[in-house]
Order: sequence, then C-alpha cells, then structure tokens
Amino acid sequence: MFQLDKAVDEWCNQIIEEGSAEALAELKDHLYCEVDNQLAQGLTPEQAFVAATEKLGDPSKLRAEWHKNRNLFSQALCRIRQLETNISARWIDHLSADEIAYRQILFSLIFALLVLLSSLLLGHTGYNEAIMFVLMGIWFIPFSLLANAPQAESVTLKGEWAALKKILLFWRKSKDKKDYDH
Amino acid sequence: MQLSKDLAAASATPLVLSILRQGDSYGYDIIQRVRVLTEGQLQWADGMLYPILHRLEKRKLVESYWGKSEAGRKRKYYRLSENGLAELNQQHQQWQQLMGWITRSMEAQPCSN
Repeated sequence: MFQLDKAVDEWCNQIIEEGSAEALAELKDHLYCEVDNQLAQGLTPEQAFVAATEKLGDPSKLRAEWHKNRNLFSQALCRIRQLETNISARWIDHLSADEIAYRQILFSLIFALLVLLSSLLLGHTGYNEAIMFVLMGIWFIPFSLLANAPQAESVTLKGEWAALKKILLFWRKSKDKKDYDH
Repeated sequence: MQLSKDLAAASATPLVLSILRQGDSYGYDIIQRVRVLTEGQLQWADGMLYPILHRLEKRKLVESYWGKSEAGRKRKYYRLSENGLAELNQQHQQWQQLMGWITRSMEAQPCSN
C-alpha cells in the first residue's frame, strides 16, 4: 500500500542534507502542492507523487544545486555524507537487524583498536598534534559508514547485546576447541 | 518558441524579482506564475527555482518569512527587498538596452561588398 507521507519524506531527505529543517519544509510544501494539483486531475496518490517528483527534476542534480548555496564547509560535509550514504546503502541494504548489530559491534571494535594504535603511535613521534588530527578523522570512519543507514532505527540495545553474547559464545567455543586440540 | 538554456538562466532573476514585485509569494506559486506569464515556454525543472530564490536571499535581493498553507503546512514566503527592487529596475533597463541594440542592428541594411 502506497504511503504518500512516507514517500514524500524519503524523496525530500535524499535532496536535503540532515539539519536543514527549513529547506526540507520548503521542499515538502512544494511537493505536496504539486501532488494536490495532480490529485485534482484524477491521478492516484502514487501516480500524483511520481508526476510531482518528475516535475521537480533529477534528484542528484537538485541535490547539487540546493547545496551550492551553502558554504564550503557544509558542501564538503554534504559530499562526504553522500559518499557515506552510497557506501552504507550498498553495504547494508539487505542486511537483517542482527547482521547490522554485528557490524556495529565490529565497527566499535575497529574504533577501539584505532584509538589504541593511535595512542601507541603518538608515543613514538614528535608531531603529536598534527598526527592527532589525522587520526581523529580516521577514528570516525567506521561509525560514519553506518551513520546514514535507514535501518539504524531497527538496531536496539537488546539486539546489540544479543549479538555481543553470540560473539562471546563463539569466541569461548573456539577457545575451548583450541584447548581441546592441544 | 522555447528559450535557450542560457537565456532561460539569465532571465530567471529578473523574472522572479518582477513576480515578487507584484506581491509576496512562495516557491510553488512563483513557478505557476512564471508558467502563465511565459505561456509555458520557459521550462525549468520546478526544483531549480529554489536555489535561485536562496541565492537571491543571500544577496539580500529578497527577504523571507514563514507562514502557513491552507492545509496548515509550514510555508516559506518571499518578498522583494529594496535592494531587489533596485536590481530589478537596473536589469530591466539593461534588457531593454540590449533589445534596442539588437533591434537597431537588425534594421540596418546589410553591407554590400
């Protein structure tokens, strides 16, 4: 069953970056106006939505145009988010909540490892501040890969805990097996 | 007759400003008015108007404020600022001047070599 509000939200969210509530409200108002216009001509809500979005234009071009007005820093952030969205969409589009939870834990472990390695590295160099900045950027890469995932809502604390338990169980089993082999 | 892409882009600012000169308006309404005014011959993707409006706002040629639609949705309205009116008058003169030059050139007799 087609849900107009959901479709409008999703379409607008791909054009407007997060945090631009005003731009989002403006785009939504336009889309609803055009949908109402199309509905008045006898189209179904789904047909009206498709026609309205087609009139608005190609989403990727629109996104680029809408963000041209923003300052350089915002533009850079926007591009990074676009890249992240592409990566996370490719990675976790078809994953279940359990698999996403596993990956979140994995990313958390990578994050912890990176922090640990950074601190070890900093102990052996004289350019601490500069390296620190670079490393801080690297730390957040694992998290940013999941930042835009629409499925993030489906990952609950309970799910993460269950996944963690499974990992621990697996680790213990493999340890027992090793001990047994020896 | 459809305007070329370059001309459509160049005429967007004076057109939008001239529509706002008639009174405050919002994006969707501006697009409808452009469509009526140009009898549908100036075609741009609807979504491209907003970046133009935002640029005009940044240049302080238009001001914006929030209101509500009949359905109760948040709606962003634009109004022409004093700077915008000055810019509109200037662009109007420039377009007329350009039109005059082209007309004069077209009326001149071809050179006979």
